[in-house]
Amino acid sequence: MKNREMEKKIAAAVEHASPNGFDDVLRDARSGAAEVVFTETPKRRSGWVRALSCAAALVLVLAAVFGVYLYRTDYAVASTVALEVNPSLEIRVNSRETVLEVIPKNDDAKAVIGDMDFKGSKLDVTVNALVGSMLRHGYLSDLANSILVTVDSKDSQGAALQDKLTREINDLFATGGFSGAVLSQTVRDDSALAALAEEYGITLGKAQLIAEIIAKDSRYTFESLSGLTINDLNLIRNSGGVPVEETADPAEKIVTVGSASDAGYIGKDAARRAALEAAGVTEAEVLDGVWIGMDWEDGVMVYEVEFNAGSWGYECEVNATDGRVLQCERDEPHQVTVVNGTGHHDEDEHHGTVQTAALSEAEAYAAAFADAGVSEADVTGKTIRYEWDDGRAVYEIEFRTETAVYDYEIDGDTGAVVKGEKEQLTPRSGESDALAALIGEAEAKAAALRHAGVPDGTDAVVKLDRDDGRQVYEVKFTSGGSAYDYEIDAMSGAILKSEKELLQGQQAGSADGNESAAGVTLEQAKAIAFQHAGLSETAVSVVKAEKDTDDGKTVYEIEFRTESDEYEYKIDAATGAVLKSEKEGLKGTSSGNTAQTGGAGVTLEQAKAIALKHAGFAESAVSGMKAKQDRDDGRTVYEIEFRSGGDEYEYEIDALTGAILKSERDRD
Amino acid sequence: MDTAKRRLDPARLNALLQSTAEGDTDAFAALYEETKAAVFGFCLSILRNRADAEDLTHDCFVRVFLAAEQYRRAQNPMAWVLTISRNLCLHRLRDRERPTEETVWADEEAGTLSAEDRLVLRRCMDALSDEERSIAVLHAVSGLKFREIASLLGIPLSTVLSKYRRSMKKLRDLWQEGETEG
Repeated sequence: MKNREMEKKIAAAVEHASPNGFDDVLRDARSGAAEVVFTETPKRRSGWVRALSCAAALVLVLAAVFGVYLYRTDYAVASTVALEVNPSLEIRVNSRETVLEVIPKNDDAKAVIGDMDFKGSKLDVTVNALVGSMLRHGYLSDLANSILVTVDSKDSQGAALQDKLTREINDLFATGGFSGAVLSQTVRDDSALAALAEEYGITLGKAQLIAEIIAKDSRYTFESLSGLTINDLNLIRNSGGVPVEETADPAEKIVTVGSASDAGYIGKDAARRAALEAAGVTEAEVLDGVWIGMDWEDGVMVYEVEFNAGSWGYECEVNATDGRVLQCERDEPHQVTVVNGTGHHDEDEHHGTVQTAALSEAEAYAAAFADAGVSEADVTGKTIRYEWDDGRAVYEIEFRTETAVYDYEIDGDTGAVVKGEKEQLTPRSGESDALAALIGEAEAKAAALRHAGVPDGTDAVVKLDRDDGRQVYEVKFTSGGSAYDYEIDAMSGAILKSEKELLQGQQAGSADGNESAAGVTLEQAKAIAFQHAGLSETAVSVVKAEKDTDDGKTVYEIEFRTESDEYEYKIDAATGAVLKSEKEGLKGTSSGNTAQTGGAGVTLEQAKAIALKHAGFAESAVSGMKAKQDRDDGRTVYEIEFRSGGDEYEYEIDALTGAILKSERDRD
Repeated sequence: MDTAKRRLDPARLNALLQSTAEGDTDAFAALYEETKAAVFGFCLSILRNRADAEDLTHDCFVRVFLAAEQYRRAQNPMAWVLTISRNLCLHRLRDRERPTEETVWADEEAGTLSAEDRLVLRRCMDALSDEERSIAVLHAVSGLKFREIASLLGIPLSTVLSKYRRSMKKLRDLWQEGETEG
């Protein structure tokens, strides 16, 4: 569910609950208005009384104004300073820079604050103590030395405060002989940015830093960067090769003093050696320098190493943590990357030049069809587009067959498959498998009857339904004056919900607890429910316990839960009889989600194995394995991603059946 | 009708408030209809009690009618109305000797509400902290922007954003957990 949908529910509920009392409002508003007029009618008073009361009023007004002024300056939040490393905390100060509150934003920040109490301290003292604590705790170190200072100020002092704090932190670093990088900024009202910050659960300051990086390099997304530390973001931000403080870009709002440390990584020299070795190029063969930048790829920090040797252009990616070469690409001779004098990669080299491809459209089609294993006769709705992509001529081809949609990129010069993607059309192959794997209505009914201890449910109605994306059998029957309602997992046969409710007019004979003519109290009703559920009061947390009227009868509605189950009871307030008992497994607990654990479902590990088998790799032969459970088109799926031999693979596996819903290969 | 579109448009609320200040009761009626859910929801989020929230909604609009002349055009009209609501609600909170179980939202108060509406409100009351609840409700019903909510509640924008996010996550999780609960 999206936030917007949740908000709609809230809005509807509030709307429906809100009163319709305009007439009363208007009546009281009018009489209130009349009253005001009445009290303001001048009364006869002697001159000095009037003078005195005026003076008193003046004193009162002054006191009020002065009081408000004092309140404003002393307790009103004038500025908020956020410090972010990985610990993230907020300091609220009044207009005299006295600290009102220090708020930790994550657990690391709690460790940094410890039992220090800053209330009433000066801001500079507080910042000193906090940065000192970050150094002591090792959050700021030679390995990760960047701190982001964000000032959010109601008055115009924001920029001055930003300057002052930057200087103070730098002084502190210098005193300790620590070489740190201070990034600072004053945030402005930017609702678009605020929305992004909100979406990714990060502070506005960090959002602004990420926005700057994206503005420089559109390959990045908020999603990919939001989990990084300030130091890693700073490294990426500076990876253009030119120190940021030297670029006088007026669009940049973040000021940096010092540079980010990559001491936590293998370093540029090691990355350069690894890349050259992987490319089989010696230092002597390198033509005009090596460009090295840092980047965030598929969840790891990498060094990007680019150089020219012979008539070739090379692009390598080296894992910044362990030095493994993830990828090395050699460009076609005619596409040699031009490197300008500063060693900076010139991105615009191909603009304005029209390159023709060696391959004809028909040849490109043939290459795609061959790779997909389909004949041209089976293909409908094919389209082709020729374009330059990353300095390479490619044909983008899309076509479909009866069962799948294909998306290809074919190298326009070599005919190689750059990208191949296949998506199954619905009805997907998984559907029939899913039906075959169900336990069947008879088994579902039997399971419910067994649980209820009812020998034969002649009137049982069984219905296959979907609940929370899983298939369930709903089983309903009556026996011995009670109505039973069950939900059985259609794959595993597990009982997800059991409910028993006494039918009208039956309760007198089959009361289950205290039968007192005087009626039962709420406490007694709770005890009855707990006893019926076989639980002690200490083992449950009560969600709801209240008196209600149901079908003209007074009942207690008791809801409680344990770690694994949710219970709902209705107790007759007159007799103490259990009118309804319901027990439902909590979803999301280990016992609840049978798609993952049930015999018929597929585990995450199995899904990985399915994807690897389809791609033809052993797990040891792939890197960057990512696997997560997701929902797509109302079904639970596993998304599996990995890379091997410079190709990226992406799979979608049906979590119920193990069917491959989507397979995609992308050479990058 | 385009009533839904007109709803909570600041320019329109502005005009309604101006007319109300001149004693136009039709304009006041329209103002009431269009903003009562926001006022009531905000009061409910602070007081957690339907009867009190209804009382305070009433008091708030009486105050709005009497004070409409003092409203300055430069302000956001919704924020102005909600500032009045907030002050009244905080007074009421202080007047309560101490919040007892009876003052907290309970289902019997829901009256004619649908099961889903009850559930949504009960979860807002039970699962969210006071600030989270106010932020979630304000954002859902008042049409105020996050920074306007921040200034209304007197807390920083970043806090509003994180609390908003947390509240939505809690509610969504509960919703997914118990689609069948009722």
